[in-house]
Amino acid sequence: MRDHAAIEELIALGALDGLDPSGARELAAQRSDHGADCEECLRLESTYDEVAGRLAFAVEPAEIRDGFEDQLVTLARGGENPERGDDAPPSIARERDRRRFARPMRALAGVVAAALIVGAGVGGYLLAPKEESATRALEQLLRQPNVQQLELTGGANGTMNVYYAPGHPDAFLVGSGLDQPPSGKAYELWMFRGQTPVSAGCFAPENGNVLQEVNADPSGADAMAITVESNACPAAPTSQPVMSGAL
Amino acid sequence: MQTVDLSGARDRELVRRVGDGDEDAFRRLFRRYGPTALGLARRIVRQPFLAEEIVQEVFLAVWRDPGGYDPERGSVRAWLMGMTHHRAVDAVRREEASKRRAAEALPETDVEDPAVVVVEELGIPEERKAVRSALDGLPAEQRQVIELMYYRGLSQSRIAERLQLPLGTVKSRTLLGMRRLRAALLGMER
Repeated sequence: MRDHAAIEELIALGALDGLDPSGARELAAQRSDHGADCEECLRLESTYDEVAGRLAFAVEPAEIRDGFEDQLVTLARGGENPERGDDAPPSIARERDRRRFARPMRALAGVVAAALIVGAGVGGYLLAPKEESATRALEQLLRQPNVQQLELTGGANGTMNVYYAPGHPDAFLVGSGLDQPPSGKAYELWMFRGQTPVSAGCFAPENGNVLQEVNADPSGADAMAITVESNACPAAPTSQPVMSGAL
Repeated sequence: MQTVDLSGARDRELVRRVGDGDEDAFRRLFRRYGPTALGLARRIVRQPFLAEEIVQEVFLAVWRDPGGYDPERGSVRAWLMGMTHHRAVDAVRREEASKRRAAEALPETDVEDPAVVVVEELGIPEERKAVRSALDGLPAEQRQVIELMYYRGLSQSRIAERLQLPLGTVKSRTLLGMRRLRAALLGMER
């Protein structure tokens, strides 16, 4: 059995949300190295997440103000926030918990697995009418028996996955919770073969969501990464990755 | 231990019912964990309105995607508190200026908060006692880094700066403390 001392330290800090972006990248790299199905890693993650969750109970509970519960239920039922007069999402919505607590989406094959991936990873976003074409293409890809998933992690907010099938001409970048890039900037996806980056296109999230078709087969790449670049979409990265993953 | 197991089973059943669109189950889950989630969020962000927004977002996420909970990955309460903590820490790190303003608005408190609040469900006060006892059982230097990390939302490097410790020391103290907490709270030495 391989040594888990180093990754255990990172997992413990991660459970407390104490990792810096560099630490998060180190954890992602080691986690990728251990493999998504590493049983000891999964055990460590679940136990340290459990310990961290228990720490909340050392804090005295706060009193819930009158009307808050009803307001919450109204919003849940799709109504408007009676106090704010709108149903805009809170400014700090985050999907990190999805990565850590959602069912692990390992490399899956077949239609059933594809449906699970869509249901768990994309949700209602696939229903956006203007994305119907891309959605159909993604669904077609996910029906491939050898469909693969690559999770991109790093310092950026949000959840980002690349779905591809070796031999299939197209891949998809799918995600949510990604912040808007600064003015004049865009996100750019890269495929690395060794140390050589190849652009896989620029994109910008819509309401944090990303559904980006990639006209390439990443299966021959060693890693994928996202950087923030100018809108000109340069041919080589000019900044450090905000998200990355090793194949 | 039996109480904890029964409580966990009940929580899982509530989440399952939320998946069926059961509003009563949603309300019960909120009444059971909403006050603790709000207390945690307030502790970290120190802004009542922002803390409330975080808790609202967490429970709306539960309503919209209860399938995001995987029983194999831990308890419902750890899931809920994990979501709350992630969002609160994100808020702290993204809004440092707001944090400074809020520090003046709400005084910092120790873990042993003297406020007395009635908790609807049995079991949670016992849980609180157990967690506080586990924290008290830590060596002071381990407890310090874990409290700064979890209850203040500070990252490893910020803690190293604040305590003027090598980063490796912060990491090793955190791991040792978490191992002790794991043993105390989960009965797992390894």
